[in-house]
Amino acid sequence: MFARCSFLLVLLGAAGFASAQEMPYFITYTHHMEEPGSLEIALNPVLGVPKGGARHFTASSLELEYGVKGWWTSELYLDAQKTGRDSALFTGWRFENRFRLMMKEHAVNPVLYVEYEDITGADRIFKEVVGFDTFEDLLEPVDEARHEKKREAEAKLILSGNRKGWNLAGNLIAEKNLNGAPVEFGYAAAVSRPLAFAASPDSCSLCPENVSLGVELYGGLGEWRQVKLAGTSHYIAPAVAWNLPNGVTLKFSPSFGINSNSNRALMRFGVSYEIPLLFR
Amino acid sequence: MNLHTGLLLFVICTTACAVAPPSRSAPAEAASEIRAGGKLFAQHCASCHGVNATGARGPSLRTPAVQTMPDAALVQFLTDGDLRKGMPSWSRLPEERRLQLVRYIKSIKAT
Repeated sequence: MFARCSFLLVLLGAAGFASAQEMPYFITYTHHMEEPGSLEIALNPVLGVPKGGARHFTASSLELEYGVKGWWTSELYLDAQKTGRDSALFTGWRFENRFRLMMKEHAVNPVLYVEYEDITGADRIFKEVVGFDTFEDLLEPVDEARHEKKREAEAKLILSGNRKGWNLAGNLIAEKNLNGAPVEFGYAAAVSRPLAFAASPDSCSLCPENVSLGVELYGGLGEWRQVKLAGTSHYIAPAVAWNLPNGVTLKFSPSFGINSNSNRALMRFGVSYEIPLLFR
Repeated sequence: MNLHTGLLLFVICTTACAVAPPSRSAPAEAASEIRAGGKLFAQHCASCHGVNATGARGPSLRTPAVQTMPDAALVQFLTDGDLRKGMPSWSRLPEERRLQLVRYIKSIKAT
């Protein structure tokens, strides 16, 4: 274990670092792509505070994000979770690609997102909320949920723009379980800004320019032929990101359920590190 | 603290932290902007353009083509990038920081 960690540290040290000014969002995507040739490694744990008698859980996803081109970013997620006193289990993987549709910067910049995921019913990452997802989904015991296979295709239309230092982003989500369930819809929207727009002349860690604050709103929109808000769950999530000068970004976002179908809270944490120009 | 109080505090903090810096004399301000731009260059640009901006995987930024480009055009180029050729868009940086980067890039021509 120690040897593995040492190897990783040497690799990271040799690779140098890049600071990409990460957005504080966990759910909402923007039009900002990974720099071409750069690899971002991120770990995003989620602490779940459900309701209705469901047990608390800890889930986590390991993310590997790579900039294939300036307009094309690929990302692989590996998910795991632990509920109550049950043993931890691997709950599946996701592979996504994002394609920026316009090569110049505009007021609104569209990005097409396509994803394939092979996860189980025990997955607790809540990377998006779609359809009629509710807190009741968590009442199913993990031992049973882990046998439920979810092979899903997902598409998102990402609309995002920057204006006077602020970022505004909205995502429309369509998800299809390939086992025959109807297409489910969802949304995510977010706004954020750094605490200071201009950089200070001296190197600093805990200074306003390195901290971004934002808020996200996300939830389900029903499914094919039943697009509606009734029966869906929604969350609001203040979010903060701290971009350290050494290339590490720390993020935190508590999501609060805002209607009777939502879970009580989802506490999201994130740490990421960007390695520039790894495979170029 | 309930949800509404927490959100209210969050909004107040966001607004309160967005304060304007104190004003300084013009030469000191310019030097400060260049230093800030140098810091940003090291963080975001040096991995491609080299630590001295003489070029690495990306082109040199000391060439006449870059150095004679108007500031506004250079800021716009940083905003758009050249996605097909591998230059990322830096619109994620606020315009103030893109302008600081340009001031730094223009300051290195004589060195």
